[in-house]
Amino acid sequence: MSHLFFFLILMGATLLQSTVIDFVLPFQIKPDLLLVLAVSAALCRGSLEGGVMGFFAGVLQEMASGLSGGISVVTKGICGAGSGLLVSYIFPDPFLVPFLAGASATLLHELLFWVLATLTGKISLPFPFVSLVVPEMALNGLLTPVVFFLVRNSVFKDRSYTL
Amino acid sequence: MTGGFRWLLPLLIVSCVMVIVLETRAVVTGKMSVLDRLYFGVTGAAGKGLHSIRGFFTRKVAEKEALGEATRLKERVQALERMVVLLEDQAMENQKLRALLELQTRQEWKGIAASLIGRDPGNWFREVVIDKGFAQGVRQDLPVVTGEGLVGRTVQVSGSFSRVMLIMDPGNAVPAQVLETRSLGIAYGTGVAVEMKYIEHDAFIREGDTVITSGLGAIYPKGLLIGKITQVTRKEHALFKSAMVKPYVNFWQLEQALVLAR
Repeated sequence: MSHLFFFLILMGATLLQSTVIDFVLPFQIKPDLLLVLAVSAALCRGSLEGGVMGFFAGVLQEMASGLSGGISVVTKGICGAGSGLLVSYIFPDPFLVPFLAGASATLLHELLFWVLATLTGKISLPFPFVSLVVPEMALNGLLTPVVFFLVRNSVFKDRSYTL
Repeated sequence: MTGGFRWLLPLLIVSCVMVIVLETRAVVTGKMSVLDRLYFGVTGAAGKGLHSIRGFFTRKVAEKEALGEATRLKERVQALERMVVLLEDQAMENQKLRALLELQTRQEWKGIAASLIGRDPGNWFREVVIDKGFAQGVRQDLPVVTGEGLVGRTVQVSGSFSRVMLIMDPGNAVPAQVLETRSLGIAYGTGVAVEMKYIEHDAFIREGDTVITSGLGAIYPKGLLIGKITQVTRKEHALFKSAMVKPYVNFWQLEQALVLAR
């Protein structure tokens, strides 16, 4: 049931991401709510379930966009799985670990996306590290501890696995 | 992994393949997929609800600002009225000269007003979805504008929705011209800005110059405002100059647009 509830939250986040978030946040770069949720789920439930949630998040993003030809599914799945591995190897901290997980997952996600999109001919530009990736890392990094706290206490209440 | 997840794995693989096939087909054919139509039917309704809530609060703020702006606008209207008289005179002279040269008159465009109901959720592609489609006369590769300037062009059209690729999208290229010097170039999207490339190396372009559509190519008519040059770059031994262009349209607050149909 908690996984179904989380999937509904992912759908709501997709809706927000593609409708009002540009109006609410006056930045040129917007946070990736779907990635933040996938990372938060991974920190709660581990690598495998984080990968599945990332996979779902990517599928929802493809439905809303459809431009990347399935790349989002791969990148979010990998980032979700990778974030879950952090829990096994890093000293648990309720703020720093989610912050680092959110920021590093963003960097990995955008790098993978750029590589795959360039190889498949979807985009043709230099890696926009300063103009796109750094602001998004900051936004996602700051958002992840908050979302992680909410997800851990309201969705995945079983804390026996992780932070 | 809990037992409940085991049966989901084949379902996930099938759903992923289905989504990829449907969306790729949509990109190739230029028509929105069944999933897109279903999704944007829901987001269209939800987006309208969320926008009306936001509209209530923004209206309160706007009322306060409107009073001060009214005085400033009255002065601007007077200046523009004087300019209109001058331009009407020039238009009449232009018409006479064209008749003398027996030039064809430019094609008239019909405007289809549309509201934005969705955006690409990521930061790489700059596309929006509008609530007009085939039924309202929208077709693929039609220019989309606002009162401020060029927004982009339609790339996928369904019965009641259309996707619009913004000029900032990395996949968009607009034949452009610098208004002051008449220098030609191509305005490419970079994801967060617009860069005009292939400007002749001895063109005297400066920061603050206006960039418009050149009318070359089959999509954008001549004279649509794109933006203002903010930086000029010319590398040593390069054949062309390039310039960064700040679009006139505020894409982050875009709510309505006009599709230009022939």
